[in-house]
Amino acid sequence: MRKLSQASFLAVALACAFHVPAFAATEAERTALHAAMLQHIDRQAVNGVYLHMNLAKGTVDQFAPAKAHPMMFEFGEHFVLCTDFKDKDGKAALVDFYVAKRGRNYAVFQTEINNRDPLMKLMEAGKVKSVD
Amino acid sequence: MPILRSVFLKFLAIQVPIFLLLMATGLHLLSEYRIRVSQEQMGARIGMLAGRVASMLADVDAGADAGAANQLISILMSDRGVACVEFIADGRAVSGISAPRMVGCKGAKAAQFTTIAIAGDAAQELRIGLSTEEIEQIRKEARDFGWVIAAASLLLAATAGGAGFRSVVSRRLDRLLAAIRQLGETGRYTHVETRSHDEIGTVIRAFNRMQDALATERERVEGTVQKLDRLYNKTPALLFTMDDQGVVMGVSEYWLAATGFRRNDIAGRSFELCLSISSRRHFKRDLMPNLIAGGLVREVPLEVVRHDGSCADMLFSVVQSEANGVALPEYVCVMSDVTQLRLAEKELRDVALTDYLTKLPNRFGMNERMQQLAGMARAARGVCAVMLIDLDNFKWVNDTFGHEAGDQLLIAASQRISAVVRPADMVIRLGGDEFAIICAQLVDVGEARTIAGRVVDAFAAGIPLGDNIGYVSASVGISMASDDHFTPACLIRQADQAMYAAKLEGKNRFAVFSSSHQRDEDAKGFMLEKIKHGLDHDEFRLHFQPLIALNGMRAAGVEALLRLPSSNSSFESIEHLIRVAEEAGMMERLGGWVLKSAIDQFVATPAFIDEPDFYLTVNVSTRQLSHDFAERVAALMAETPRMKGRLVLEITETAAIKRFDLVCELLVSIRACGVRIAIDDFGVGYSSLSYISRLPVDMIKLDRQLVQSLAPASTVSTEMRKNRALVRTVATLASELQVPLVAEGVETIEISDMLAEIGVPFAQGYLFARPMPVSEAASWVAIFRRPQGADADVVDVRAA
Repeated sequence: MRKLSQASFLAVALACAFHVPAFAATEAERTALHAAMLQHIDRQAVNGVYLHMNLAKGTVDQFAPAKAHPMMFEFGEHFVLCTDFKDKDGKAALVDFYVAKRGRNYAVFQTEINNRDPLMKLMEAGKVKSVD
Repeated sequence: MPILRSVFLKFLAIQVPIFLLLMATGLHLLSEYRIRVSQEQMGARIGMLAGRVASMLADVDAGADAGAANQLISILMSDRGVACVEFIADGRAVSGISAPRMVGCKGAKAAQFTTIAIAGDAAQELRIGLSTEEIEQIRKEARDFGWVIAAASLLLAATAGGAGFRSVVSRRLDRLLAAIRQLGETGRYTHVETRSHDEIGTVIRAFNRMQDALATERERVEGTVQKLDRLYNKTPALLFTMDDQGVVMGVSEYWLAATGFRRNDIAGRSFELCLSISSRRHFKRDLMPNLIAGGLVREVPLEVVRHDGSCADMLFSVVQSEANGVALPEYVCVMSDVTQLRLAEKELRDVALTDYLTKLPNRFGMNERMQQLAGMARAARGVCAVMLIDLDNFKWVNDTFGHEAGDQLLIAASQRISAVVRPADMVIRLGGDEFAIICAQLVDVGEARTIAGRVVDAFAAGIPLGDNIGYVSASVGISMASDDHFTPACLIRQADQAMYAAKLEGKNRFAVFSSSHQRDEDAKGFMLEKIKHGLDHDEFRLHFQPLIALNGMRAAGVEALLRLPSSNSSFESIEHLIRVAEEAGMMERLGGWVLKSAIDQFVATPAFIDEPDFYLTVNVSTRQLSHDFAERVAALMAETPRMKGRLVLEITETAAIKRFDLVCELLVSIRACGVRIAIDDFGVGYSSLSYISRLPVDMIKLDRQLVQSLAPASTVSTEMRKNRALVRTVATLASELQVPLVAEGVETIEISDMLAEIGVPFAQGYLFARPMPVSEAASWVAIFRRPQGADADVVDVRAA
């Protein structure tokens, strides 16, 4: 009985070890999502600067794209892509782009700058998941 | 499996699969993570590049400036993840604007395709073919890296594990194992050094403590074993052990010393080799099966043959060994040497079976021989005879020449008998002057007669007894065993009857038991039953015969006489009855009844008791004359004081003389109670005048044969003259001794007158009166008594 238990454990462990999980997003989809985000940034840029109307402060903040994160998140049928921008003072800003599918392509439908807490709460709530 | 006999290999057999499993899982997860990151990075890199190219194409009129569009598109081809790029306008690939140029995605090794809208215009798109070579390359590198890492790690882990196992476990186990082997092979205790407190150190310390405990226990056990060994070997008991086949496993030194064997002579060999032939059979057939079945035998006699060939009688006791309540096939035996005891027993037995005087077998020896013959087959014992011998006249020799001469005669008699029998015959002294011979394997009864005749003849010559010669003869009774039955008691009884017959026939002869003897025996038995029945049912009666004073012819007393009515309206023969009662040992009871009844009836009869000096005579058998007889008489006299001076006990002359000293002592005691003593049947038998003077006698009764032999006056003969002289002498003697003399059996007036003339004062007989029941006797006495002082009333009893 003991030997049988040992053999069963060994078989299950080996099966788990060699299991290869499938990616939910292919390289083509990732490429398309990032291309849509960059095209959005390029289109929005004014003289190479990304402008953002801060209604709370009543100011137009200026940012420059610094680094795009390869990690993506899904939110129902939509996706969230994260980038790091820098303001004119060189200070880092967390920028999240919310992307929706449009035909065979994608388009950014909302941009959140330095407002990641709601996204984190959605992630904790399980509504936003990392894309494998 | 041999491989599993090594702890280290067992350790590896468990450890390596687990290690491989964990490593494979870890490497796989690591590889997948790396691939995933690469995929994300590739997607982000190509996407960012494609987005930038698409933005730039939005600013170029691709239809007009195909060259510029191709240059921008070719930027994408700089990324190794891009396999091909096509410019799509209105849903169709624009020829000439593609990368590789002119070919586009035709034949390209693109695993996936993605389209990117140019400036948000869905009419123009970039179709990008993505190559997964980069990912596959990364996957391959990760796999190769994993194998290398796994192999190296496994080798390292196995090497390190082996070294560590050897250092931590194997080396110390080897030392522990060596100590255990040394303990097993040499029994020597070796401490294993350790400073570690891990599990193996704990085991080693426990092993060392166990060794200490074992050493202590061994010392104790060795001490006990030595003590037991000393006890086993030095105890003065014949101890040995054997298995269930009777093979000796060990013997004590005392056993060896006692039997003379060496240990190697007997150890491992069957114990029955130490036994005599007869004991071997007993040992093998009886003792061992009983021992195996019951586990215990006690004091079984066996004969052991010592090493020097001598035999010893041993008592053999065995008990089965056991351990923890389980019986073992091993038996502890102890033998007790009873040789000396057996010899002593034999000597005692010989003494018990041998007559001390003649050295012949005695009655017990005879019984044993008779039992032996009874147990033998008829063919083995053949015709058998038992002879009983009684020496006639021995008492006279003994009394005349003394006991020493009597013993001398008995020894000579035993030698004479032994000299005339066959060698196989057994001569026995039964006691006194009685001998016996047991003869077996006789040809016939004639041979028995021949032997008996030789015995009788052997005493024809007198036996020298110092200066004297003793003359005795032998009366021999012979009984023959029948072919089918050999009953010792019956044979002896029949021989006794035959001997009695030989004596009756005149002694100095032999008689063979016959049917007539058997009839006599039957008659005795019949009479004995009558006596018992008569006593139990009060059938005995007393008759009284008057005794007459010849001077005046008056009744002076009565004699009580026993009677037993028979079935034919008569009485049983009183002589036969008395003889049977005496032989059966019933005389004491019967005589007691007679004495008590006679006194009771005498006292109850006024004609008897009221007459002054009127007395009662009662016969006493010699068998009644025991020490307590005087006490019983005294008790009776105390109960009836009126009988004082009125009771006369009659004992025969022969009885008095046979046991003279005892009888004298008894008679003195009885006389002291106021009882007188009469000598009965005087004149026959010994008739020694010296006895009369020595015995305490108050009355003499002349024997009837002597009285009747006086014969009528008309036939005076020499014999008559002699008898008259004898009677006259006795009368004179009685007169001189002042002892009344009574003549018995007076049946004629002539004899009565003759007795009166001679001077015999009293008479008794049919001339005067027959024995009568008490009532008739009382009437007779009342009629024929002489009235006091009136001569006219005197009645002559003879006239009646």
